[in-house]
Amino acid sequence: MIKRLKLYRILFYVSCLLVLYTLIGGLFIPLKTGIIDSSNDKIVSNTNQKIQLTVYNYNPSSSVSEVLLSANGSFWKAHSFQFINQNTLEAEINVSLGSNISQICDAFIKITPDSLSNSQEWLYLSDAFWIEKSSNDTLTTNALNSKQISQSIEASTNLDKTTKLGFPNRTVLNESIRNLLFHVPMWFSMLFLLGVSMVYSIKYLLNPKLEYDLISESFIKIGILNGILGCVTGSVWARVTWQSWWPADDPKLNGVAIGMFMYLAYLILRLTIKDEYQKARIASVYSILIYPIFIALIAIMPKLATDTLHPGSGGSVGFNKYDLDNTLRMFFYPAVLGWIGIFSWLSILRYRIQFQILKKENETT
Amino acid sequence: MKQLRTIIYKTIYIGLFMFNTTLLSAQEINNNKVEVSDQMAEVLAGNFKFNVVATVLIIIFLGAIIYINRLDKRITKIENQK
Repeated sequence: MIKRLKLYRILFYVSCLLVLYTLIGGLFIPLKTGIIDSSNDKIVSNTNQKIQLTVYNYNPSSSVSEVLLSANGSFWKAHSFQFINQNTLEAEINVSLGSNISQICDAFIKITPDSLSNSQEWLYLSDAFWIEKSSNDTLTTNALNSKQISQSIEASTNLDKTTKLGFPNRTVLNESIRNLLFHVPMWFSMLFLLGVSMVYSIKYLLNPKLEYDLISESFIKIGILNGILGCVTGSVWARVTWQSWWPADDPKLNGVAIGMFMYLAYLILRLTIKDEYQKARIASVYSILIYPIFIALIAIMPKLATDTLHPGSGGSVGFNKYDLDNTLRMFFYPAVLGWIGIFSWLSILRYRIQFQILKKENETT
Repeated sequence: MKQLRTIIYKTIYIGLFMFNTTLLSAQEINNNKVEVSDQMAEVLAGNFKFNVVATVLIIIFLGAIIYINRLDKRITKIENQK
């Protein structure tokens, strides 16, 4: 046991270092350049319009070469553009819709990040403006129907595959993307701890030693702590991105709420039985039963749903596809391992304290 | 004493149940608050106050780790004594 404890302790120290690394990196590394806001919601077609785009973390050594608006595969180029302050780009543009009706358009800015290199990238803001068709808009349109532009944009809007330091600046997420390093590892960690608890519950039923039940209980209690932290970090994130602390119609959130209730019920169940062995037996059976249900509630049920806000669930793409670039990966995987290590250590620590209490109680009786 | 502890635990768990259900029904959207939080984020980033917040978080984390480590050593000591 002592030899094993030494190994656990080493793993704990490694986990602490990993989490410290992710804390420092996750909080201090800046976001890459991106468009975060547009000035006016509406622009009128076939007249010269001034538009303003707010560029976040713009490097003054970069240069802007093009400003475009796009709708349904057509592009309109700005005649002139300039930065009116550190992060606001003002452009003058004439959009003619021709035979098309009023519609929403996206905004694009082509920048050269470094004057020494020839690499160019597109910054993008979806649903930036509503183009209102004016009465003098004729049947001819000044839109460019360029395949070359759309190919260039497509190549650039894919995530940067290089390891250039900077977190991806995604629409809506913006700075809150850092929360990925804290919110998601909590759930990974919770699933790991509850899985370990289920294994020890099975072990108890095969060989009824109270130690196994204590381990199972400790892992579940710390798992619940993980769940609460996951809910808190998720709730804060939801407030920033979805404008609600707890969007009630999201299947993943409802699944989590039901799952957490089931584990809270486990704790109440333990309190209602006095006999230690009976308590351990019933709690073990309950723990084995609820773990697969919990997995179904948080992983399978949201995938079957047609509409959900959470990435990777039914009707939405996974986080990995568009938002997880190499910089984020450098911190995300260590964060998962680190938090699992720390919470496992806490569970073992709680078990050791409970074991000493049990030992003392046995000695006195 | 043990019974008292059990009652306290039961009250906390039942309270948690009730608190969660109130959270589930509280879904009001207030756009003004979003604007305020955006402004707050800008102020934090602009004045480098965010660095202070991040540093405090790291210090709290380090403090927690040191506490757990000390607790671990104390338990090891008790285990070795027995």
